[in-house]
Amino acid sequence: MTEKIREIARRLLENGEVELVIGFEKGTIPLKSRPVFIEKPEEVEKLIWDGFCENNLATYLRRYRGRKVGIVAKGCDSRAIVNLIVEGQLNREDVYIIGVPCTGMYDRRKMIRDGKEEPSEDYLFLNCKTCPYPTPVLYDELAGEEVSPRDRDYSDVETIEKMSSDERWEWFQREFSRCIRCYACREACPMCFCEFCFVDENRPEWVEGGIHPSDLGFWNLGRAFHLAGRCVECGACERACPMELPLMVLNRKMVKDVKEIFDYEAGVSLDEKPVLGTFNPEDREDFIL
Amino acid sequence: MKRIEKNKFYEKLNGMIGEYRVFAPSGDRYRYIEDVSEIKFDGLLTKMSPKAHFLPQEEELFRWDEKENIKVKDVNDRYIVFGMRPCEVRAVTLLDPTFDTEKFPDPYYINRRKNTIIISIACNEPLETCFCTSFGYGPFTKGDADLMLVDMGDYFLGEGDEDILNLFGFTDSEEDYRELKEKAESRIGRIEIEGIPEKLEQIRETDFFKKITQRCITCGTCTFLCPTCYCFDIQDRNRLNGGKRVRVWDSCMFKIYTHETSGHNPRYEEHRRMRQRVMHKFAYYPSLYNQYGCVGCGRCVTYCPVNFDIREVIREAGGYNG
Amino acid sequence: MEKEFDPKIVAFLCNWCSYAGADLAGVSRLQYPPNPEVIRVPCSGRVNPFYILRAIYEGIDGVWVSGCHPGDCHYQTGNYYARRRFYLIKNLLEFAGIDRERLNFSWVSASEAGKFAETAKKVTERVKKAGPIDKLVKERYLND
Repeated sequence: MTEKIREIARRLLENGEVELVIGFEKGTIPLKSRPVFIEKPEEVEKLIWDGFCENNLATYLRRYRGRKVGIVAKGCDSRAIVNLIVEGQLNREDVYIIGVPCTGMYDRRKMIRDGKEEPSEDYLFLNCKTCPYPTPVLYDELAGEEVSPRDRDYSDVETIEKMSSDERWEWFQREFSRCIRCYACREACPMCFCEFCFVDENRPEWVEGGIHPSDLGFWNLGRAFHLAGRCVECGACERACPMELPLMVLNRKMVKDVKEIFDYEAGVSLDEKPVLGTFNPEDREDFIL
Repeated sequence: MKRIEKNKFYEKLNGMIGEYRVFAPSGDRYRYIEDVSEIKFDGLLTKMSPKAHFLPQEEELFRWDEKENIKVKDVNDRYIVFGMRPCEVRAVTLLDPTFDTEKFPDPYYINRRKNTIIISIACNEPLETCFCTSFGYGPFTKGDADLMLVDMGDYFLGEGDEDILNLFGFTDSEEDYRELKEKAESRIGRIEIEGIPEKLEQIRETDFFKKITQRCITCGTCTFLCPTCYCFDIQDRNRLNGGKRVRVWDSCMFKIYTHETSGHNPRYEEHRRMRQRVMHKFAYYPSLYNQYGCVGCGRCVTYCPVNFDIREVIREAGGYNG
Repeated sequence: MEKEFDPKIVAFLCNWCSYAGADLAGVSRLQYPPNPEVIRVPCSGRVNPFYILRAIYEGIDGVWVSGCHPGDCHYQTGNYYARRRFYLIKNLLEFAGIDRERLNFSWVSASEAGKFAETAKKVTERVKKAGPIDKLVKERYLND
């Protein structure tokens, strides 16, 4: 796959079809591949593909708006690109998508903790283990054979749903009070592109800038809600979080509900309107008193 | 050299909780502990550095009541910070010239600093991301610590203030830690920082910073975990019976950090923010205080979501020819 | 004797229906509890879901949003959009452990004075059952 990616990137750069190719290169710490920005054909040898390409590269695309950019995209990255196009943040013509069928990414932090060096199924990220779109949904060229989708499984969310409200609150407090408000989740997320985030608003102020558990709760719930119906389940937020908060559980709860209630999935079709930007008169309303 | 059995040391430390507030490693960060059983070393370095004691993430400066009587918060408690690593001790030394200035002395920082006994532990087994020896000190440097311990398995060797050694009941010993020290130092990677401040000044207007910033997502992980980053924001908190003014951590990597009231933002572009961070540590700090603003703990390297590696950037800067 | 819990409830009422419904309930002299404190909004679609989050953050015991029946929106479609958002914010808050009784949504038209009074009673009862809020509430008073 690495060879194929390099070959495509070289061709695109040589022919001047794109100014830049965003892909992955080998990182400087163990088990880490990191984003790289290739501008010259002779640099394509840097590009690699392995089980540690955990970032979502679509998050960089808005910086290059109006310029022709090639991007190495796995399934979730491509869904993010679709969503960015649907939400009017990108022009389809500006991106050349090198689709990479993805067999899942491995949790490097867990592996290092367990002293493992070889990836195995046990160390796949949860959202990769249950990935419904491992093959990109939108691409200009595919760099490998299609990968069959995995079964959706929201048992992590269901476990928490089954708890009493006090138990859920206890769980939420325990996990999310570790937050340090560095906003790595927000910056890593391709869908968090607000010019001015709600936590930064100060006239009036939505939420205080401190680390009282209520502030942390507000921020994390607010973030999850802003991604409701938009989250493409790439897991970039959780992978970026230095404190390893289970951010994806909140996101997955929203993804699951959006699917169940409105039968919608984010980032799979260029023709569908965003779920909260449209409605159906027959929408479920069993929560109304 | 002086020595003490570990269990005896911890017993003594436990007895001091109450008289002192003890700030110690407890998993991913340092916490004020009630009992020594809460001390938990999570690898060599905690994720969050102990700067959270000297410069808390959220700290009250003063408060007012309904009648607008103002009460300034004073720091009277006595503290022990236990388990700091030599790099973290050095980081505190680096904070001093910023907060303890003649013109604007910061009473909150100074009082905390004055009332704190620092007990550090030398690093027998440095990490792959450590590069402290590049800055003229090492994993066995006592620095500004009041007491430095060396972990010898069942016991600690101690070096430091005579009063504190006696307080804990250290006894004389023939041993020294030279061998451990040499072994540890030989394991640490170095970066070449000779001439870097001048070089960075030379290339500040080139494309160098644009190039290195491409990968950065401009989150605040590096600055929040960094033991020497001290940027803060002052905010007011209105309460039903008054209010308070607090100081909270801020980060030069955030877009809003330099957002001005007019709407103008001199560091709107990512590379301008990155330039600030890199130059602050490797150019401005040396020119102001004759010391680098980085201690080489490697936290920013380990926890960066996109593996932005400051060691590599300094290396590249050294060899950059426009 | 212990005082009975008197909950604070914020009611976001649509100007064109529920707000008028409250008015009619008043002139018709229907009895209903005084706990819901009304904030008049131009449409239930104007209620940013963050208002609900913010009300809880500020220590409000319960929130009640009431708009026009589906199809009757003064602006044609505002409540349809709102309905989707409310469903999700309610589920998310519940998921984080906020009691469901604190989150109330209803459709009450301008002529339904009786339904307004009934719903006000029901909402107050529900919030009373949940008790004083202690989750997600910011520090409201200065303390040591």
